[in-house]
Amino acid sequence: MKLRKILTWGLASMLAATSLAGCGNSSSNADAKTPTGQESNAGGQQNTSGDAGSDVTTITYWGWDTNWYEPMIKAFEKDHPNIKIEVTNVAYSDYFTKIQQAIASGSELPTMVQQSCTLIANYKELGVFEDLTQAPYNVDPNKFFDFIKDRAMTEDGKLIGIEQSVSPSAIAYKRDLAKEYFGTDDPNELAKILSTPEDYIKYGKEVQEKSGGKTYLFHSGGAVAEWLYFADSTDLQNGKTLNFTKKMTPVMDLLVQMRDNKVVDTFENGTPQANATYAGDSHIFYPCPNWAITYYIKANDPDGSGNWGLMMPATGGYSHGGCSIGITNTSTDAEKAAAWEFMNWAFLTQDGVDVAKSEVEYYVPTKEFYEDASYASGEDPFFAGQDIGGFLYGEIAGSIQLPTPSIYDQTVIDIRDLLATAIMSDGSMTVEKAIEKGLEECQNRIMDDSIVIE
Amino acid sequence: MNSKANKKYTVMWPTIFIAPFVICFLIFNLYPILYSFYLSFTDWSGVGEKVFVGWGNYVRIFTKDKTFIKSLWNTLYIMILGFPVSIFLGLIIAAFLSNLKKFRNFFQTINFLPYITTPVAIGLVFTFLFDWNTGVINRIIEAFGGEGVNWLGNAKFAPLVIGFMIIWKCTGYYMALYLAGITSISEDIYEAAKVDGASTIKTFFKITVPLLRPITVFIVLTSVIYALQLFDEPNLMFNVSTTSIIGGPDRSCLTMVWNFYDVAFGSTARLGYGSAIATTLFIIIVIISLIGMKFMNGKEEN
Repeated sequence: MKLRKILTWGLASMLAATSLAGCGNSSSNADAKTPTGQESNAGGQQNTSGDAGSDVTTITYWGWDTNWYEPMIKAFEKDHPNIKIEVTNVAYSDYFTKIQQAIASGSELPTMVQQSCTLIANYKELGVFEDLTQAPYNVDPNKFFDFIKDRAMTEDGKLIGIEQSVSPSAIAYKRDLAKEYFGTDDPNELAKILSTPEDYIKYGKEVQEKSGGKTYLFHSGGAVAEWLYFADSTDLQNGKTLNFTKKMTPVMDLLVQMRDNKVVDTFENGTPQANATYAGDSHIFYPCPNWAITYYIKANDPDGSGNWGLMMPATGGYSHGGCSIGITNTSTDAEKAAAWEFMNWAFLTQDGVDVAKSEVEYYVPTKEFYEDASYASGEDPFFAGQDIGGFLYGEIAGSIQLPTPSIYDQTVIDIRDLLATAIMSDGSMTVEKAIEKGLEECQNRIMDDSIVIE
Repeated sequence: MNSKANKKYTVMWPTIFIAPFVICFLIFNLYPILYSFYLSFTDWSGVGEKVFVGWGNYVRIFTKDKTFIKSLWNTLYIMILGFPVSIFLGLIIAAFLSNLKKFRNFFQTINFLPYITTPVAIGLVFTFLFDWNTGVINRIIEAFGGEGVNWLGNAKFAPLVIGFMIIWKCTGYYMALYLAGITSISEDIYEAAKVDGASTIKTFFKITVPLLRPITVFIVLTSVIYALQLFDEPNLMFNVSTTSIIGGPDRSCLTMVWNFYDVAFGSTARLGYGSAIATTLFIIIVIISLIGMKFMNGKEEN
């Protein structure tokens, strides 16, 4: 009888224990922190920062950009055996949400955070990042390209991150089609032919006529809207005023003209079907940030080596995309030091910069490396020997002007994509209707009643 | 058995055995629900102080927030497009399969497969099928001399595709439920009808359909709840491109739950307002469920 009782209690306890097994709270590690901020071994993690019994400091990183972090971390850890970086891959679309949830729930943030440029103003508001201009980091923002040095800077002068790579953007084109329809594949001559946005309409119509309706200048209205939007340095927000109409009208106006004259095809930007057009022969030009060369052009047209070129857009050079890496102020001192060692290596030392260049084709925003002309310059056989590095990081990067980031950047970008899709799918959608719709969307999505949407 | 021993078996052991569930329910269900209700009266982005705004969030939902109203109509529209057809087809297929002597299991499995296919795969397959430029559906239309339709980029057609996706996915599940119901109907009733000279169609409408009423009520009720919580299907369909427009073209496929998700966890996180939307959604689902339950119980009593 007694045995049965013991057995019953034992089973009941096991049941309760297994039910609650998954309920462990990661914040228990926080309890294990000593008053100095160093973690003791009580958290149960091996090789945690500040662990008295080990020389290895483990830090955490959340990122979506496997292309960058895998080779960078591998090379860094090889040179720095005392630091281990644990990575959690988080999808780009979920990233900011996950950071917010971690803060709201009080759970542990990663030591290093990847801050998307379209949400950089939102990251600034979180208040969870180290000011990299202060000790022990002492970063001088003037080290970086002028157009980019202030992007991750808060109004009160705190630098919350360092840009992973500059993102100068131009227009890529297929040389065989350019020769066929424009009589030249020289980037400078093409830039002269297409020197104003209106030229794209004029020549787009000609290309349509010559090809019997088969060939378009661009493949996607979304891609064109993206280019035109990012190329416009008008500030989206001035104080409490959101300049939606001013910012969006020129973009939608040109897009409507392009649609009406069949300058742009109807593929939806970024879909597998749209990506397949890179290897096709029906679209000549593609708005092209530096990262798109690896992710889109080379990935989707591996047999196109030698057939690509890069030219100056009629809008001038612009910046598209990019992100910063920041260190969270909730990390321990040892973690912060280890994270800085990685960032310093990645962005400010020749070793890290060389790895980024050779493995990922990323170029850091640190100006001093460009003093060596061979750093970014060089003939690229994929682009028929064109010096695309020198073009992107010299000519384009030197001419970029960025608008001041707004916490509504991502919201308005989403509305821009919505309008571009509506324009491309509905032939009767005018600029006025599109802007009206956009303003209504802004009213619905921006809850702050003190913001005046114009 | 004395009262002490009786108490042990009627109070102590049941308490011990349900305790793990109840504890987990309190921690992981009830507490978040109540906390969310509390948050719905605040303006909070997840960071910083919560600002108490009283009924402000709820007033905004019903007076200012056109997106919420739109998401409500979108949800009801997609529900009407997909579920009645799906339920009807499930019933018809179940009726056919119940009379099938050979390959019944094979057809049952084939019909049920879409229901257990992972939603991500479904989303991808449908985008390939319905793509404007390269989709199979448009190729077929063009082969017959028609003009390709922008299924996924046009606000008129996009909800139709979601409705079709629901039909494709759920029909097999409803078929399985109806088949179980048909199997439980006594053969004697069908034989009696046969003796009385009833045709197959008459038997179906006068015997099978009325006797399956409890299953139909169950299916309708669960479908309505499922439809009101619709998220995966539209989200996966319009989340494959880099632009990933929230709610599809002109937000025509923005369902209530997707809207809630976007408001609460989107780029401008508004956890307080999102909680108010979640609470409103919860109330709508509870009201509809209660009506359905009452309807179901009423029928049973009759």
